[in-house]
Amino acid sequence: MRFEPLLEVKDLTVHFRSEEGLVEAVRGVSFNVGRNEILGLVGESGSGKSQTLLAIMGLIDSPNAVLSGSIRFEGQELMGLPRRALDRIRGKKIGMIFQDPMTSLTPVHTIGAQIVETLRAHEQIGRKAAKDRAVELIDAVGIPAPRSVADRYPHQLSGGMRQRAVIAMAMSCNPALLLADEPTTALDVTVQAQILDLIGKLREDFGSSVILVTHDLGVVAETADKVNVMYAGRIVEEGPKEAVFLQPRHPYSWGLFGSIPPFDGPRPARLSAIPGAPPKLSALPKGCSFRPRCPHAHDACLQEPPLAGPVGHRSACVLPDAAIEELAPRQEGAA
Amino acid sequence: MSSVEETDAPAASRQGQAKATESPWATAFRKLRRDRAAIVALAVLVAIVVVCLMAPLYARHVAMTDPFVTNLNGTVMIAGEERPVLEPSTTGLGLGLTPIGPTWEFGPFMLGADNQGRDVAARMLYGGRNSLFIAFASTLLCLVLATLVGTTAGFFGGISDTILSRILDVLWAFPIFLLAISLSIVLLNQTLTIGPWRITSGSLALPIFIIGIVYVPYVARPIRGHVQTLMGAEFVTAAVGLGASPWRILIKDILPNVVPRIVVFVPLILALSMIIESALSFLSIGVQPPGASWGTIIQDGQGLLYSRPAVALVPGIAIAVTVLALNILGDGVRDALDPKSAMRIG
Amino acid sequence: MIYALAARLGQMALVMFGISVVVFLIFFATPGSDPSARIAGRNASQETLQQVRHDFGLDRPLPVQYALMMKKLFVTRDLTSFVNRGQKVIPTVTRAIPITLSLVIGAALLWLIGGLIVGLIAGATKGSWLDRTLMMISLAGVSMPVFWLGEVANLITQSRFHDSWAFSWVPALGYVPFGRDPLGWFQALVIPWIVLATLYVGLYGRVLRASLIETMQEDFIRMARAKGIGERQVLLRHGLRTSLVAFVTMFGLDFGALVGGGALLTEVVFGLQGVGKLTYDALQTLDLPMIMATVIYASFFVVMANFVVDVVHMFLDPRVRDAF
Ligand SMILES: Nc1ncnc2c1ncn2[C@@H]1O[C@H](COP(=O)(O)OP(=O)(O)O)[C@@H](O)[C@H]1O
Ligand SMILES: [Mg+2]
Repeated sequence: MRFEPLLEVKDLTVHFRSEEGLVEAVRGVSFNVGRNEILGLVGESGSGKSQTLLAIMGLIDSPNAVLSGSIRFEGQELMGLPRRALDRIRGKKIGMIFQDPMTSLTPVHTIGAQIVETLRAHEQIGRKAAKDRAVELIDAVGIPAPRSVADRYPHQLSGGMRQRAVIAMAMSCNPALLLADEPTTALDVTVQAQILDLIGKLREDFGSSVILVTHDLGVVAETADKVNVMYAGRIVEEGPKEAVFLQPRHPYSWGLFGSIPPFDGPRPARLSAIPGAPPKLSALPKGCSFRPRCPHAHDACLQEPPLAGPVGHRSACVLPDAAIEELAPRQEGAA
Repeated sequence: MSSVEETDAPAASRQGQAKATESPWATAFRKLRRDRAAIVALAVLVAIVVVCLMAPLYARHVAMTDPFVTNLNGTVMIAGEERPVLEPSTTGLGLGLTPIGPTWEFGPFMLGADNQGRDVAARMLYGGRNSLFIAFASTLLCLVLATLVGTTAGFFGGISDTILSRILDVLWAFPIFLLAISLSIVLLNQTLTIGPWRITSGSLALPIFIIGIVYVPYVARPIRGHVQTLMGAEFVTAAVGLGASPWRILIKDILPNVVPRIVVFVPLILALSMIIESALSFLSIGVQPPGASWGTIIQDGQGLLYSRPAVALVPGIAIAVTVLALNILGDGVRDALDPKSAMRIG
Repeated sequence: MIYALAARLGQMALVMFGISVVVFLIFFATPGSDPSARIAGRNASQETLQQVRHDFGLDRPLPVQYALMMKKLFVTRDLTSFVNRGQKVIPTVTRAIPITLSLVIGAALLWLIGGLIVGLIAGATKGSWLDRTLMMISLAGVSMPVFWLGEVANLITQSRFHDSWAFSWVPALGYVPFGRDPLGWFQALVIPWIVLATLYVGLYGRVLRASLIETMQEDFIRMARAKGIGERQVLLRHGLRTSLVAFVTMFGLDFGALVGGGALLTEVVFGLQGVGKLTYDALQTLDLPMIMATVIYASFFVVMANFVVDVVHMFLDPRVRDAF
């Protein structure tokens, strides 16, 4: 067997036909996820993070969606896979958690029944045994009194507990890859930390890889191994977490990281924000899509810049290395 | 910890702003114009109304008859042959009279005669005028009453809300149709006097009044709920905070937001009124003779069902087509104005 | 829980009381209406009118009349007809009930199954030609007056095509008791069932479709698909199961209204002597005790249906269960 990453996404594009023209939500995204690795996917809201995950799961069902590219999981091409074959992978080998635990559980079935349903869809397992497994899983994600919680309905649990239940469901078949789409955004700050701890722990307990989508850089700093920064449907910077945090190479990343307060030291009175707004995805500017907001934009930016740079840490910017060295703000003590 | 979200407005809301300059009504009209089914339905309705309005022209110049007087001994020239309008029955025991059947030609007795020798086509047009008029007038009455009741209950709350809501509850639990029948029967047997108006049993005002009342709870309840929601909305609390008078708030802030809801009800209540009017008239407690409506013509045709089915079939088709067009239009208006609200038809 | 149940029962009693008062007022206190004139006939003399008034207790104050009528209806249960003197009202209504129940239950089964199928197919194939066709047919079904459809059915099955193989089995109009001849009962009711159900199939199909489409856009449906369960299971176990609440609510109310006399037009057209027909005949002759009895019976069914709907709601939706 040839060495290959667990997940290999190549040139993924997701377009939507709409009243206002073609919405280019994801534009030629490529990245890999290795075994037992946590990849952070960051970017402003609307930058195409969720659509990327949904494309991997085969969950984009809009009749107006146009997908292309390649998604290889354990060497198998997922793009265009028929529903039956897809259903043997999702839920079993790839689990997914969504942003809002309040709406991601079916209100009319108990927590236990919903976990049992997943187990029985993928494993030859009796009703009773599945129920016991469900209780174990509920216990494993740190929910107290798991046996009674299994018989509860979603509305009877708090947001944090529901998200744990969703995680238990996603992890029920011991998937090799977990896709987490902003799993903490809808939760209280204290609960957020607990859920992140839990996701970090999953890697140790289950040996799973994780793609963690977030617009919260603190979350990435704490958990991820690698970071991909997305802007207007493209990856503009990718690399190991330390490199991206300490030596960001793309002007968008500079603005992005400039808006996090330093981990230690006094909090600045006001966070520096990136001026302007992301472009409309149905009317993207020519060349680099960050150009209209970039303080360093020049004529060369009218060409779409390729993702390039030192091995393992690349960015999509035409600025020469020397200029990047000179202009980049230093981020002390991050990570 | 901080998030990117705070530094920039989310993309979604910005995309929404492009259209924010267009007024909600303009948006609705634009959507409705693109709804082909709704446009066809509207055209059909307009055609039906126009054709029915031409009833006197048709009766005088084509059918050459008065559709309200009986014509038991008349004759008519058809294909150069003089035939009695009411012929002795040729089927069964040969007892009774069978009215002349449809000629299917543009002329007298195009759709045949009823058992009193009257021209069915002419009665269809006059009856259509009554059916449509009753539907429009009772819908207007229903919506005005429902808006008054719903807004009063929702806006003023307190004791007026309690009383009005209880009354609506009782009416709601009352099978609509039984209520309409009960009212019709009682009121048909006397002259109803409301203030300066005297409504006699032959008057169309009676069915209008009855049909206008029975659907009030269906409309008033959602309006009340909507007004209550609006009362909690920020712009209203803000207006209250700024010391605006209740009437000003009612007229400036509440009503403009309630009106689209009411408009959504118009085609649906029209459709319901058509149906219930036809049912009352069918049971002889709607439009009274010699007046006609599509429902009374079906009733006339019931006795002739097996010999001259056209008398009962044609008005039924007219009702079904009109109501279907209203329902399609109703779907279109709802989708255009208020995609979320769903009201049941029927 | 006990308190909520008691409050609920109290509320039901209140609504029924309200309905009985409304009916009473409509018939006894509408300005200008005089039941005695109706009973005595059009050209009755003043003395006869007085006599009738006294005989029927119509000269007493309204509240007393109301109380007397309620007492005869519920306590002594010996209310008699104004028109057919000596005819006991309650047994007459009791005799009509099986006919109405036969009609409504059969139609209800048909429209539940039909509505479920139409709504499910249309909702699952939203936007397709199949969906559009089904919705157009449903809308047409909703738009036809039921009595007219009944006449069309009669025309076809009783007259025009009665001699063809397709409809030669259809018996003459009327009701056949189930106990006497189950097959005859079935044959006599099939056509009325279909006619009555047509309207409701359209109605329920449309409502279920709308509710299903809304549900299928929820996050939990996406979650269910992410679990790798088949689309049929997603549709039925998660989509349909959650959409069923609106469906059941509607069903309870419609069933109650129909059993309570709403099937009147169907009964008239098909010559079935059910409660609706009884009500209609009583209304024609202004037989007040009979009207009071049937309408209160009707409101009882409607109110009961409301209650049953709430209970079923509790079973279907755990959120409602906890709120109770
Ligand atoms: N069905 C759709 N039709 C048109 N545009 C869509 C559709 N679904 C998503 N989009 C667009 O795709 C873009 C990317 O969305 P998303 O991946 O959810 O962003 P993120 O998760 O990074 O916040 C958004 O601008 C959104 O408007
Ligand atoms: Mg997202």
